[in-house]
Amino acid sequence: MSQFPDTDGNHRTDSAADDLKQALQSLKPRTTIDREQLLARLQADETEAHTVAPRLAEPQPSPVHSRSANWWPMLTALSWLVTAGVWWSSTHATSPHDSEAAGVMAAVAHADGVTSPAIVAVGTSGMNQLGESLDAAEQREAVESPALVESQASTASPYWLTMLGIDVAGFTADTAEQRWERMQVEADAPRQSTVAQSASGPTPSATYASLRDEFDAPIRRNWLQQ
Amino acid sequence: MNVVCNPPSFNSDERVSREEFSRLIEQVLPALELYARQWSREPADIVQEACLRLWKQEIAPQDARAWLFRVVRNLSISQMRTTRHRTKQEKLDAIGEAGWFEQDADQQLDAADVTRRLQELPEELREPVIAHVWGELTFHEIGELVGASASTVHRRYQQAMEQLRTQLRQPCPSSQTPTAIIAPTALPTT
Repeated sequence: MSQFPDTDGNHRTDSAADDLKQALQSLKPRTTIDREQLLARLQADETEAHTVAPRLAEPQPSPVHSRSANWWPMLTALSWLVTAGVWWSSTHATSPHDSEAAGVMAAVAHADGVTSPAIVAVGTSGMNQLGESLDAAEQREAVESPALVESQASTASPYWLTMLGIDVAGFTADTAEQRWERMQVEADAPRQSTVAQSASGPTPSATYASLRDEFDAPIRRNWLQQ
Repeated sequence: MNVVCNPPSFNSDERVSREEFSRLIEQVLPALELYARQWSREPADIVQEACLRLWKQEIAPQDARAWLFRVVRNLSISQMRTTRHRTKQEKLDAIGEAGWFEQDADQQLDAADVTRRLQELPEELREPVIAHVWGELTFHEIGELVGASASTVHRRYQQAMEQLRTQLRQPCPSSQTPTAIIAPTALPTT
């Protein structure tokens, strides 16, 4: 005979429910986890973390890094992007945008705390080449549009970094948007005057604007969707 | 009689210390594995992953026990979705390959029968029972887990317990023998 009350619902008491609960609690859930093994695994994980910590401590992970639940595949892909970007920069850099693309990729790797020697080497190389190619490109652009160069130097690189979620001191996404719009106006002004003077083909500034829009659109779209 | 231990409370400004973590694991590991077993055939992997995530938290969650249950639930359901193509019966067979409880001669209830009865409960009724009886979560904490109010969870719990009480009095259909082994002296008559 069951010791539980009948189930007609008329005379059940809380103590009956407690009795069933206690009876159920007397059953021990079966476990297949070895606690000692788990703790040892955690200890090993902690030891590894402490060993790696000094290398990871600087630089701090970026927001991009912290948002990523599984970032190793991303970093692997990023290393390939950096390599490709540096190669592209060194062989095809004809405008600031090409150089920025490589530089931003290297900067992302750097900000994500990539410590693999190979990636760091590639990233450092990319940053150096970025500086050189930017200098050369800026010099070329300076002939066409001094205002553009000035805007680009103060806006473009922080803009890309901000759009990619990397914190740049004193530079918010809104600031980037405003400066970017202003830069577009300034970039278009000399192009229009040049086009008015000669309709034979695009000027360097017009090519630059076209490249900028082409490269900018998908990143801006992605950023707005976030 | 089960000894109910107070869950360790962590300082929310710091990481979980090894001592606190060991104490929590000691208390909650079997219940977590049982909880994951509702959905997964590899509950140990899920629970270990959840423990690792807790261990890696820079700032300890305020209620580590409830936090662990939440992570285990999310991981289990996520894993279950990847095997959605399997039929319900296949899933039931898979999770029922081994009993959910250790069989002990001194127990008031038959472990295999309770396992079967729990598996037969709808998920929304079974989950509050496991989380409350073995996980020792409050109805409020369970409500936060499943996205329902504490009163709704309590109602489901009561309904589940009612069904279990009825079913545990009946013979198990598979064995055709009375399997609700309830020690007459252990429970009061009401």
